[in-house]
Amino acid sequence: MGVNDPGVLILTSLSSGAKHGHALLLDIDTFAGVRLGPGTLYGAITRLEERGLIEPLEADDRRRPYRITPAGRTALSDSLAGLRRIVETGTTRLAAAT
Amino acid sequence: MKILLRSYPRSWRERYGDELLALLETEPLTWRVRANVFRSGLTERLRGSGPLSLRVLWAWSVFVIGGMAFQKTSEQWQAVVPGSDRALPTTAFDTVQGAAMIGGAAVLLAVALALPGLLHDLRHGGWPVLRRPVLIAAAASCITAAGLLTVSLSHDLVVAVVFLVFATFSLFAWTHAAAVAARRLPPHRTHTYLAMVVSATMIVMTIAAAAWFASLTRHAPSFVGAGQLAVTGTFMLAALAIAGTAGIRSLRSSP
Repeated sequence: MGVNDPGVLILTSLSSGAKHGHALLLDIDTFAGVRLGPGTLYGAITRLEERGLIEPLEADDRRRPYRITPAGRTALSDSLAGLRRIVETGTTRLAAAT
Repeated sequence: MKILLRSYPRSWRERYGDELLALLETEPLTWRVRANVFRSGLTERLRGSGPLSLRVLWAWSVFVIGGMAFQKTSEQWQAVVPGSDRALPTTAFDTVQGAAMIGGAAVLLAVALALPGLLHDLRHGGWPVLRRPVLIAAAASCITAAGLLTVSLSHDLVVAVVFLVFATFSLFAWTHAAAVAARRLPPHRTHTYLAMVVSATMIVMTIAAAAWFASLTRHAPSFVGAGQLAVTGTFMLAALAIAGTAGIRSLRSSP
């Protein structure tokens, strides 16, 4: 999963606590500067829930919050480790080239 | 906004529809947002379109439109190609027809294999689920039949276009009804093999049709119109894309 992957962005957002759709969009916009479309957000939520990486909580009116599962934390951790390796490699190579 | 949600499959709407609607009520409903929701809905439909055989059935339906356009285009083609140059287009044309017969036979065989299960399902409470798609498809067929009669009497372009739209809708409506019925039946391994046969015939027909078009364009450039070529090519390639995507998904999900 890449840094702009909706799944990674959602897991990252949920790692600080449960959120519903609108709160997720606002949080992702704040920390990543990425404005996900509502369809994209719910497509990713569907996929993450199917894979057991997030789980729904009791709905508040029509807004249902989601929280990250232990499997979701592991998946996010693996993705971030992969991204960290890319960042470190890129940074090192850029520094060597200048 | 509820119309936008119709692009999603019913099961998805039942699970996430209210949540997505609540989210959309907090968002400015720009064309970009509408397009995003519509595209995502179609993606969910494609994902939830069932096993390989059902996706190939949809591909076949789309391919039929391209095939009909090809059939219409190729009427009287022998008259514009000199007898000495007919070998390639004749082979290509015969290949399209032969593959179409094999593909059609495979689809009919698949339907025949599913019939006992379908009848059993209908006898045991399946009709309420099938009623709506079947009635819509039947109504579309009736309108299409009336349209055909009107076209033959009036020769009006607008009527012809309306007829084509309803004929296409009717085809897709019956495919949808068949898919709804098939999803209620236990999976049949033979259907997967037949789906592979149908996919192979679509590949063969597309290649043969391309060869025929190339040959005809060389001998009689004015015979093949750009519109006919575009319609045939678009629907044939779209069908191959649907069948190809279904095949890849099937391979990925197999253990």
